[in-house]
Amino acid sequence: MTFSVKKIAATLAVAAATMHCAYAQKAAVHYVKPLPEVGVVDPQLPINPDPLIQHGKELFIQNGCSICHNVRLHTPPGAEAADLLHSMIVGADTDGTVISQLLKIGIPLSDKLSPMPQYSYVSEADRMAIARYVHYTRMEEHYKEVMTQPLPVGQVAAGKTYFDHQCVSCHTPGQAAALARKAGSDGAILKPAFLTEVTSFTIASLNDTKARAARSAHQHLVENYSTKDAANLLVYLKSLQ
Amino acid sequence: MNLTRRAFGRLAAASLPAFATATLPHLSPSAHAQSGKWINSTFSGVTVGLQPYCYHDLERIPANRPILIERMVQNKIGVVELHAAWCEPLFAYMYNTEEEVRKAKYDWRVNTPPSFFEAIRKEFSDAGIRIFSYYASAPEYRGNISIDLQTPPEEIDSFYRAAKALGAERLIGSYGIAVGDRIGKQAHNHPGMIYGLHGHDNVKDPDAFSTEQTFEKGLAMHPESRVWLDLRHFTAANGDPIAFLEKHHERTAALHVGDRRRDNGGSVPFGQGDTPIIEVLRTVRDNKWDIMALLEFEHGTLRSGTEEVQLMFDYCKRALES
Repeated sequence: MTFSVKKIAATLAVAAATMHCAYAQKAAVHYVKPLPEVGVVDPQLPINPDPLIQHGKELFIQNGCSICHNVRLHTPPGAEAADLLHSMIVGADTDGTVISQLLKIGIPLSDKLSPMPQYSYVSEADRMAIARYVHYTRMEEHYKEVMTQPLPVGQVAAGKTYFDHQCVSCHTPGQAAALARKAGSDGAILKPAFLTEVTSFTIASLNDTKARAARSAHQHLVENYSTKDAANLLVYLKSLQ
Repeated sequence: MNLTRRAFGRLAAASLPAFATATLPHLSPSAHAQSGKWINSTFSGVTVGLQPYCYHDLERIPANRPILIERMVQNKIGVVELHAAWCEPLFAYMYNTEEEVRKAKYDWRVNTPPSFFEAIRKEFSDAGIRIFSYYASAPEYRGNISIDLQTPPEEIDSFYRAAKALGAERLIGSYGIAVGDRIGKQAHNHPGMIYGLHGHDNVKDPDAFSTEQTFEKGLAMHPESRVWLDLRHFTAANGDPIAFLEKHHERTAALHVGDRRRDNGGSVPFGQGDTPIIEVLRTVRDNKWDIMALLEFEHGTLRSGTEEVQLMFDYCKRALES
């Protein structure tokens, strides 16, 4: 009787997963953090529909970034590497140049056992592609983090302050309220649909600096707002309707 | 140490995966055991083993141990350096505070009988794999350090006992000089055991093993201490591994084989960095030094872990056989 290696590996993965579940449920061990994934995990999956983001993801994996920082930027408990999902340095980087520069020189003076290496031999274009992937993933994962818990009760005044600080340079309150009404759900207000659309390369889009700036600014907001900010902003926008 | 009923139940439950895997003979790749053969990964006198950290697509948790064994059989690698994370329960995921994690780890380590580790040893030996060394780091609440300056001697002793039960006569850990001294001190309680000093590339930290001078300091601490020279990190710290081995080969037990660029450069596939992997392996071979070559690399890949390990393993095999 012959078995393919893949079949055996799949059987083992299922067996391991079953034992893991039994371990967690039947044995009454209560875990306080989400458990690591059981079985083989292909870091490339799911393939991103935007080939530019996928390219950045592949570079992130190939250059070993995902080994310490995790491909979805979720650093496990006890990890030595910086938590990129909540890093203030990454949060302050609006266009990828800070990440690219950090990759170029590394962080040699860290007190960690293994300081972050320098990647001066990686081209600037590739470093920027990695930065684009980091920002995109931060946006997606941060949004999930905010939306998976019930938002606190928002304050209109605090929402107005946030709006005046973050949004008013592009939107009047009236415009923003109309856009929010059109978007419908809270989720669509907080992360407008155009942020996850595949980049258009029509000639008109190529020269549309306004759309590019809007995408970049909104992505930056989604990457960084707190649950309080989100709740306050929603209440404020609804108060205008 | 007295255990409460609740604590015992929790620890017993946490130990379940090892017993569960040990009782699944139909899933165990037992062909090697039946034929009584070990997997041979020795080439021209130099054994190439694996630090399974290289399977970056496989979490280091007890539930994944059957897949690890299957993969090593597939890659035809007969020697493993087993990280404690493949054996120990996931304490860091079970408790909220560092204090609780510390207590649970202490209780589990001090009270777990050798039979627990013997069962794990059997899983590997049934597949034709020998456990060369036990790596005393495991994920925990913060800091990825399973032994530190607060760890009592009896808990450190438990790692030596675990290593012995696993059939390994070597304990290794990624610790600096202060913690390494505490671990090394306990080795004399366990005749035949050695403690491996494993370095990284932080040359700014005087406590870290990184340069030749820091390793010399570590070797001077205890007669049982041996160097685990990580070729990648030593190169990134601008060290010369061949010159190091020429001087210290008698007290070097193993190499971690991987490639990095100098000047704190990143990890890269074998042959693309500044680490003289081929030259080092041939130096060990030609001088008949008793040093184990353990694959341990950290470069990223779009291939599966098994494919990448195979490529790097074959690179070393070619270097030794030609």
